Amino acid sequence: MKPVAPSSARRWMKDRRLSLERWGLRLGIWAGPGLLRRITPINPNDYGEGRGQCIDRYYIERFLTEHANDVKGHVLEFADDTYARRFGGDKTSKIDVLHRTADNPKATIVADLACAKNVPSDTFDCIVCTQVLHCIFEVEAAVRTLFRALKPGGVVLVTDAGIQKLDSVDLKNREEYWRFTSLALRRLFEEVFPAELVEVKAYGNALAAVAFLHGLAVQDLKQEHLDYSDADFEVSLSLRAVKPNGPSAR
Amino acid sequence: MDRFFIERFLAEHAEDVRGHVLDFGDDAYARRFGRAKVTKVDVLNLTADSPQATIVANLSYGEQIASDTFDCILCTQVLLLVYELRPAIRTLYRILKPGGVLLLTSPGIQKISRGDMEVGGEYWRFTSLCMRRLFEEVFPSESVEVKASGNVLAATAFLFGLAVEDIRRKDLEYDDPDFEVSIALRAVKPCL
Repeated sequence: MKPVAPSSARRWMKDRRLSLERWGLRLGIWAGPGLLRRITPINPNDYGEGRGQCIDRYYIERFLTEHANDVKGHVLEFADDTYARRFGGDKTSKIDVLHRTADNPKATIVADLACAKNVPSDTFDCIVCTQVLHCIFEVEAAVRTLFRALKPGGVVLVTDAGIQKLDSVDLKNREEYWRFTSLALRRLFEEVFPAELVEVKAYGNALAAVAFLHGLAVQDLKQEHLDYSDADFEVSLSLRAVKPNGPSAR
Repeated sequence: MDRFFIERFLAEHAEDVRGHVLDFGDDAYARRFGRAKVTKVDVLNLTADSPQATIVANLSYGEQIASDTFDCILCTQVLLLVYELRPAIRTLYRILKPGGVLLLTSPGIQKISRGDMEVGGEYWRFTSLCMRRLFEEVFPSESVEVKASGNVLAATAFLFGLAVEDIRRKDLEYDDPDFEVSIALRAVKPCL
């Protein structure tokens, strides 16, 4: 069926609707009883990228901003090199991109992190591993590969999902396995990295969690509401671990 | 809120709750869903502080629990608290009688329980896919059934700490595959 309104008018209406929705949220019209009548998400299509910045990306990028000094030298990233370029800038000397399948043109290393014979050892100054581990069933093996691939003194920056809906695409591809708690993430890495070189931090609160489940975006919430941290609501997890220098490596 | 999904699952499989039953924490579900079909109930607890506990053990190192013992194991909301998953699943398999049934639930979307986090630790939220793979490593895959329940409303209400009574029942019964609030698994140990 052909749309009745011209595209410019439709765009205007869409923008208008989005801004009305945002005001509704800000005023608490939806955040009240309305939210408790919806059995479908406000935005079922994505994680909020259609409306603005995804809520988990807000936390991921905050973490990477805090640790941008670590993104330097020979850097490994997954799927594409966006974060390595953005947070590494001139500090990077070389960037490799790892992907599990060969269909990604940006990939320079095709490997499954869990049985990664073709991932080189003692190679990377920094590994940026965002939203990867929850898609790997053999996650313990993946953590060992991360350790092995780092140079002594190298840093891995990890983020992963806490409270998050499933990705329909990943679901069809049978890819999503885990939602870790911060404690699980810590223990997984402390089995391989020295405990004193592992830092874990969780981000989020009840409002951020529910907004994210509904597919709302950063622009739908106030910054102070995103920044408030409630330890019981781990929306996004982050971890920084360093491979020790010298022979103490396990 | 999660109790709605757990109890619906157990009610559907109440026929499996019979003979010698193992429950965790207390024997409430074994009694409620087993009734007269139950001949004996054991209660497993990680620590000795549960008055009903007849077995004090860590499931991952449960060597003291005899093999081939239980006709049914009710393992609700336990696995998320166990760091070493694979040994725990092997223990569950080992202590079931041949032909015995494991009924297990675990949350998908849930906030951290401070009490559990501070006692033994809370580790995992599984997807239904993960649960299936974990158990298929030990049980024959044709004997493993996994079902996820929930939708964004159930998840929201659960995170905000609302009760089942705050939500219309039919709204809870709608399942949205993107929102696995509660995961249920039934697995059978094969007869020899």
